[in-house]
Amino acid sequence: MGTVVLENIEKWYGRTQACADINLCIENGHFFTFLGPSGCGKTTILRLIAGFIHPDRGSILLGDEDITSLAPEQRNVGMVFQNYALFPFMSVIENIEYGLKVQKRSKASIKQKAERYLAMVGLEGLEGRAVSDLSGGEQQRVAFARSLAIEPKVLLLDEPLSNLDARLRDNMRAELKRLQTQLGITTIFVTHDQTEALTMSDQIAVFDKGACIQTGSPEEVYQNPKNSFVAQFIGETNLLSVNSESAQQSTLAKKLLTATDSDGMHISIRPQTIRVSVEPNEEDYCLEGLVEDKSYNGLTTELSVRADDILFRSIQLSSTPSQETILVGQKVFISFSKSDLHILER
Amino acid sequence: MVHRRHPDSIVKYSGLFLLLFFLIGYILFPAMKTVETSLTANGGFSLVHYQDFFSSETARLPLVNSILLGLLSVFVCGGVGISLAFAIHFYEFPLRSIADKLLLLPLVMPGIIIVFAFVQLYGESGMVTKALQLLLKLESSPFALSGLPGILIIHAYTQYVYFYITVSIAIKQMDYSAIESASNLGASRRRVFCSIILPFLKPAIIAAAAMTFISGAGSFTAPSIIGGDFKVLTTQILLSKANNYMEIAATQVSLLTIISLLFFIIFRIYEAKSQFISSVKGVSFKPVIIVNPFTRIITHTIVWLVIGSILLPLATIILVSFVPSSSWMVNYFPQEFTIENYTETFSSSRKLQPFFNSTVMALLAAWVGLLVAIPSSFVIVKTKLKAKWLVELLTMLPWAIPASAIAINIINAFNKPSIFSLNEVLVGTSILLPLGYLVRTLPVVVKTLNVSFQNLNENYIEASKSLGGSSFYTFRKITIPILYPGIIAGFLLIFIRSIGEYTVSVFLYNASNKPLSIAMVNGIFEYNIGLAMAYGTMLIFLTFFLSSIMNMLLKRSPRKHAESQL
Repeated sequence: MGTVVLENIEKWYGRTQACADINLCIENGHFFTFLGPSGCGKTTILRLIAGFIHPDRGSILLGDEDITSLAPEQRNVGMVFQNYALFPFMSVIENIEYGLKVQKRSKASIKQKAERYLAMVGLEGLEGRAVSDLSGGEQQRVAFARSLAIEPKVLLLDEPLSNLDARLRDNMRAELKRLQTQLGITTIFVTHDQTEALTMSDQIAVFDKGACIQTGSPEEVYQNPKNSFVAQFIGETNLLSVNSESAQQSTLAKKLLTATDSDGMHISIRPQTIRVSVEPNEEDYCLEGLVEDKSYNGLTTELSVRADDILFRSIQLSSTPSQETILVGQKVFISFSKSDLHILER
Repeated sequence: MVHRRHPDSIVKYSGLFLLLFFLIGYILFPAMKTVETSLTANGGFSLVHYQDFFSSETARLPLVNSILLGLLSVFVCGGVGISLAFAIHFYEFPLRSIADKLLLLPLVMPGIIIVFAFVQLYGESGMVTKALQLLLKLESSPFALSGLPGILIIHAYTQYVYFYITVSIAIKQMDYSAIESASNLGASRRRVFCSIILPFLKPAIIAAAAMTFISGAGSFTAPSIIGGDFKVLTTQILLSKANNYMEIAATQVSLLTIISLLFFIIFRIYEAKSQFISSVKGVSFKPVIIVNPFTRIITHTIVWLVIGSILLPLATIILVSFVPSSSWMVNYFPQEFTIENYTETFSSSRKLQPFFNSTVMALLAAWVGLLVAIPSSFVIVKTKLKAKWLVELLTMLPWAIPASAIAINIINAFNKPSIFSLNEVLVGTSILLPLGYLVRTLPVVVKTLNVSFQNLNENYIEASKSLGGSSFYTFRKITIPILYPGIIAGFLLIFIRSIGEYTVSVFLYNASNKPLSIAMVNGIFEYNIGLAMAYGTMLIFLTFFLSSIMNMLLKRSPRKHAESQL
């Protein structure tokens, strides 16, 4: 049904390669996120699936059908745009009815469906409003209802939350996930926000420079990043460069080089695995350092500690007893175990 | 599997070829023909016409006068327009939207009507002049609306709108937080004005100055009717053409065009230098309250007096259209009123003919104008074609060419067969006048349509397609609704600007297509003032009605079109 398969997809804009040899399988009913910095090619792939652009090489399959050369209107793929693209001269209900009218349904069926989806996004009573009179959040709900009303096989979301303020974004995130689960619709979500990707997705594909670097569940991608780019892009990390040169300058690098098979690699240590204490301890690695900065973020507290001439970031629950007593300028010990180290390709 | 896109380039390039054929054939080729004519003597290249022009003081003086008129128009109209824009939009003003609409009236009123209204009011035997003379018991008229001062007064009335519109828009777009932060940093009100407000408005002021200079230096209507001894190039061009000295006319036109283009480019460079890009989202401007009640009352009174004086000429035309023409021989002021001027017009097909002619020609210009302007705007806004700059340049070129020059260019281009005239001689036919109207109004219409095309966000079309709409369905339901206010407005704009047009008409009309403006002028010179004013009244109501429709349509469009209406 709504399974999307991309095979060897390549797209060029003049001499710039927008995406290179993309192979992905998006399972039916999954919430699949394309994550990456701007210009990484994620929106290009979304637009290729929608049919607004065509690949220079490769095929796109939707279910059993090859849709590579189909026009967008023949694909039954719904899309929510970053700026919503609501038709400004139509009312809320007219926007939602648009795709249903295209399908030439009966008047009664159009009305019934439009009302159903309007209710689903919680906008009953706003049928006759001009879309320009709605708030950003309401406009976005209309955009969702409009795309869902045609009951597409796949729903494409192009950074739909990026124009909302922080609190509304949190609410919409939960609501969007609820709608997706309720309808069981295959959803492809483009974002550069790692929190959105981690909290909403069944699967994540991380993109960089037109290539898909890693795919996997949020846990897999977070816990086992394939390279230093993924480690840095998803979640916070301390990234140490390990090679013969850095081993000469840093005792930790020297120790890591001999203890692990990591020459020419990066070692990532997540901040939450670095413990800070006033006294030294028996962990695999324990270094003496100086607290350079401390920031309280409510639930957690972040400490920046310089040890072995490297600035380490540690994030601990604010309720951890030692966190309250440690002050900027204080001499401390940072420690982490061997199992907390991730050796990564550069 | 390698995919190749279907080549739709044949359609694209043949469309572009047709467009460029039109723009080159009817805008660039005529202008080049005039230059060629001015550089030809005895069948070969020669500078003799220019030598003759510059060696004769009588020939040079009108050139100097035209430049002087252009510059003085900039100062006078700038003063009036900027002051009004500040009074209405910078400060709190009661009934702002009504005042704003009334102040835009001169924009849509044909110049010839305004000149006659001024003559009726402030001319030597005008009603205001005579009233003052009787009131002050003077032996002769206290003033006469003629010469340079007379022309300038009319220009102030008709051309302040350029400054008024652009500066008003700039004021409304001003970032209020920049003003507040300057005050917060300790700047005095004077300093805030000079260092913050003025730089915000400078590009608008310069753009308006360029427009005003070109229309001032190229003005024909006012100089030809009340200019008297103050000779300018445009009136001399008509004289040369009437005497069939086409080489001299071509030389005068070339010089006038060069001067206009030169000032246009200078202003543009200056405008580009003072241009800035607002990097952050500003706070929208809130009009300032005039605290001192005395200043407030004085300001508001002056503005309402100005608005009154703008309505007065229009009211005069309507009033005079009900006065029997013969009564002006014996009275300064109307004594009796009648509808005979209208019954006479409507009962005689000969007298109704000019109204019919103008309507047909304006409609023709509007239809063909759209056929040219729509693809031009599309190419300018929506494509990345290499020829885009050429399309933009050619469609904007008539802006920098005075109306009389456009007319002479057309005559020079089509007095011999060419590929652009389908191998016919077109001079003497009725097609040239609507062509002149079209060329003259093309830049304004293209500007208006550009805004519509900018509103046509690619996402709307994509959204429609992703919802299943075919290309044709999308075109009908999305593209047309977004473009149509701009298209209808563009159509009406050409129509309104053409139906009462005078300058191009003087040069290009013939016996079979005599337009309304010429019939009005003839009426005046035959002392059939009532009939002329009946024509004028019909024109006022028609343009007023159509521009109301136009404004209504443009309001539906999310962006402001006012700036493109210049």
